[in-house]
Amino acid sequence: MVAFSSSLDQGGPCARTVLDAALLHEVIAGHDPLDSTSIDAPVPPVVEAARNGDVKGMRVGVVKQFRGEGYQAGVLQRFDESVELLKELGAEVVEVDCPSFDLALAAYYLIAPSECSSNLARFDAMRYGLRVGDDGTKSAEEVTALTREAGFGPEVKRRVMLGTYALSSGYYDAYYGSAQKVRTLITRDFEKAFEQVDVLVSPTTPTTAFAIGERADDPMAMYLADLCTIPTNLAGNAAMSLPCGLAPEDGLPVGLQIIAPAMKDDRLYKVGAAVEAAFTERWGHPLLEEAPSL
Amino acid sequence: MTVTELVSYEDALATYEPVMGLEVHVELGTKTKMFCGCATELGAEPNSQTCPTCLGLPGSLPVVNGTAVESAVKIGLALNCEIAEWCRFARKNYFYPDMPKNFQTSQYDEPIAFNGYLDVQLEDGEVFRVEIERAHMEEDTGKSTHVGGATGRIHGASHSLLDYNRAGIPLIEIVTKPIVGAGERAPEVAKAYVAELRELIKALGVSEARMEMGQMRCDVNLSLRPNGTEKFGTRSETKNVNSLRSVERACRFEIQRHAAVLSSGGTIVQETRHFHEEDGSTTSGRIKEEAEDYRYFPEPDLVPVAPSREWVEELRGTLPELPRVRRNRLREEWGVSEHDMQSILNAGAVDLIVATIEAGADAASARKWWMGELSRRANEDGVDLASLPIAPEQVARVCALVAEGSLNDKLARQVIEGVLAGEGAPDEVVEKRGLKVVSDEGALGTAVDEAIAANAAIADKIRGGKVAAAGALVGAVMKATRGQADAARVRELILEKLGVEG
Repeated sequence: MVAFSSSLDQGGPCARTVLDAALLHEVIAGHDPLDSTSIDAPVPPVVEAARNGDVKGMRVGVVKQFRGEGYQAGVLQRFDESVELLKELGAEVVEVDCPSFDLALAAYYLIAPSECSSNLARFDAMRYGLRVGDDGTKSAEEVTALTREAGFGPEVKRRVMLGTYALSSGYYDAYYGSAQKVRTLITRDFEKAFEQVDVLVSPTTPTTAFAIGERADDPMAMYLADLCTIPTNLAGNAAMSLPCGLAPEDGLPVGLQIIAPAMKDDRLYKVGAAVEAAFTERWGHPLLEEAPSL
Repeated sequence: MTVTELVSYEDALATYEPVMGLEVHVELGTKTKMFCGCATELGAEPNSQTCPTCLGLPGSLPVVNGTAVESAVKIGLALNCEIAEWCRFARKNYFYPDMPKNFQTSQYDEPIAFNGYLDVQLEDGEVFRVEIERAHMEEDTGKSTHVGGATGRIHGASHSLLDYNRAGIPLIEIVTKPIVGAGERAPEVAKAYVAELRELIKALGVSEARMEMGQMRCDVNLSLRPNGTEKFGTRSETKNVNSLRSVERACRFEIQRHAAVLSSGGTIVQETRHFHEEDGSTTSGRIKEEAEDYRYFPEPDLVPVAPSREWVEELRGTLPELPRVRRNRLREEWGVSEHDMQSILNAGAVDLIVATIEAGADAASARKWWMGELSRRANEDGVDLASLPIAPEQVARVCALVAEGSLNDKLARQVIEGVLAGEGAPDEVVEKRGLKVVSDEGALGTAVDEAIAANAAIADKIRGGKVAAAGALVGAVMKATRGQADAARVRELILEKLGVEG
C-alpha cells in the first residue's frame, strides 16, 4: 500500500457480501511487525459475527450532524428507512450529538494534504519510476521538477501545494496544529457517543455518486462527498458501508455507514449481516443484482 | 574581507567575548539501522546494505530500533539530561538525492533527552560545565560522491554516485546550550567538550565514536559579542569539523575572522561555512538568507516512544563511571600529573594500562611500557597503541619477570620485541631467545674478575675513591654476559671486590 496520508491510510476488505468481507477481514487483519502503527491485539471475531447477524437489544446512535444542507433527499430517504428497519429488527435508536464533526472536513483537508506533500516527495525520479528531462544537461533538481510536473495530476499537485503551505514555518500552528486539535475533539465526541450506544449509523455519502470528472473543477464539492466518512477516518474507529437501496431521483445506490469503536469490528458485521439479510428479504434479492441495469 | 585580514587572537579577545554552540552527531554502533533490519557495517560494497525501507520505496514502513532508543537514553542519562516520558519522531522535509524519502526521520520539539550538562576538564585541570540543550534520535543520509569535478565537489561534476548503505544508520545529535564565559579558552573548551563526549560515548559502549571514520561529526556555531554586553551576535555555523584539533582551530579561526569583520564596521552573515584542514581556515558555504523551512511535523508512520521510568532507572544503574571521574581517580591512583595523564589519554593508553595493572603489574611499570617502548613502536608503525600485537596480560608478565629479577630492562625490551614480532608469549620468547639474567653468583663473579683484570687502570681509580668509574666495569660485564646480568648486582660485586663502599 503506497502511503498517501499515513495517519489516515487504512486497508480494508471490499466484498460482495458482509460474510465475504468478514472472511477477507480475518485474513488481512492483525499486527504487522513491519508496521509499528498496527495494533498488536487479537482480531475481533468478525466471521462469527457475520454468520450471526442480530441487532436485538443493541443501542444504535444516529448522529445529529450527519444530515441537513447538502444532503440529497433520496439519500436521506433510504437512510431513514434503514433506521426504521433497525428498529423493526429490535434495535433501540437514539440521537447523539457530535458537535466537532462540523470541523472534520476542514481538519481532514489540512492533515491529508500535509502528509501527502511529505509522502509523495520520494517520487523524485532519482531511484525508480518516471524520469523526465534527463538529457545530461539538467541538474537533479531540474529533473525532479520536470518529472513531478509530468507525473502528478492536478488534484495531486493541488494537495502537495496545500500541504506544503500548511506545514510551512509560521503556518504550522494555525493549520496542521489546529487540525490535530480538532482531531482530538472528534475522537472525544466519538468516545462520548459510544458511552451511550453500541454503534452509530449514517449515510455513507451526502449524495449518490457523481460522474467521473464532474466535480474536477470544483474541488470543494468533491471534498464534500467525504463528509460522513471523514470523522471516523480521523478518529480511527471501525466502519463499514453497505448498500441500503437506490435513490429514487437518480436510481444510484445509497450506502449505509455503520461505525463502531476501534477493535469492535465484530459489531459492524453483526449489524451489517442483520441489515443485509433483512434488505435481501425485502427486495427479494441482493442489491447487487440490480447492478447491470445501473 | 578576505581570510588574510584576520585580527590577532589576543586583539579579538580584548574586545569581544565568544559564544559557542556545538552540535555533535554520533553514529550509533547498533548492528542494524534505525528503522529497518539492514546491517551497518562500514566499508561494505555500495548499496549492499539496503532494503525497501531505507531506500524509501513506496509501501515500506519504518520500525524503531529498540537498541538505538536504549543507547539514546544511556547517552541522555550520562549527560545528566531529563529523559522524555513520551516523545515522537518528526519528519524534516527537504529534497536531496542522498535522502531516499526526501525527509529525514528525526526528532523536533520532543527530543528523547533534554536539559543536561557535561563537565569537561581542561589541560590544566580546570573544570568547565557545558550545558546540554538536547539529545535526539535521527537517521543518517546516504552518501553522494561527485565524479568528474576537480575537487570532488558537485560544482563541475559530470555525474554523482549514491551509496545508501549509510542511509538509515542511527544517529544521536547532541546540542549544547550557548557556551558563554569561556573567554579566551573557548577553543580549548570546545575541543575538551568534544573529546570528553567522545570518551563518554566510548565508555557507554554505544559507538566507537571514531571521528576520522565519520562516526562522530561536529558542527561549530560561533558568534562574538562586545565584552560586557548581553545580546548574542550573529553566528556562523562551521560544518563537519571532524577532528579534535580541527574543532579548536575552527573556533580560533572564526573568532579571529568575526573580530576582523566586526572591528572594521562590517556585519557577520548568518551562513554555513566549510573548514579546511590544510590551513585551518573556513570559507563561506551556503548563505542562510532565510532560515530553511523543513516543514517539521510528527512522523505518522511511527508510534511515540515512551520509555518507562523503571526502564530508565534500570539503565541509569548500568552506567559506567564517567570518563572524567575515572581519569581523575586513576591519575591519583597512579600518582601522575595532569599533564602526564593527558598524554596517556591522548595516546589511547588508559584502558591498556588499567588492564595491565589488573593483570598484576604495578602502575609505574605498566605506564612505563605503554607510554615508552610500546608508544614508540605504535608511532613508528603508524598504528593505534591498542592494535599492537601484544596484550596487556603479556606486558604484565614482562613486568613480573623484571620484578622477580629474571629480566632486566634491556632484556625485557627484547622480550617485548619478540612478542611484537610474533615469537609467542613472553615466557616463550625468554626461552627461545635464551634471555635470562645471569644470577648465578659464581658465573657473575668470574665475569667481574675478568673485567677487573682487563681494566686495571679503571679498577685503580675506583679503589682510589672514584666510585663513578664503576659504570665502565659494569658495562664491560654486561657486554661479556650479553646483557643478561643484573646490572645493579654487578655493580655491587665490583665495589665489593675492590673493597669500596657504594
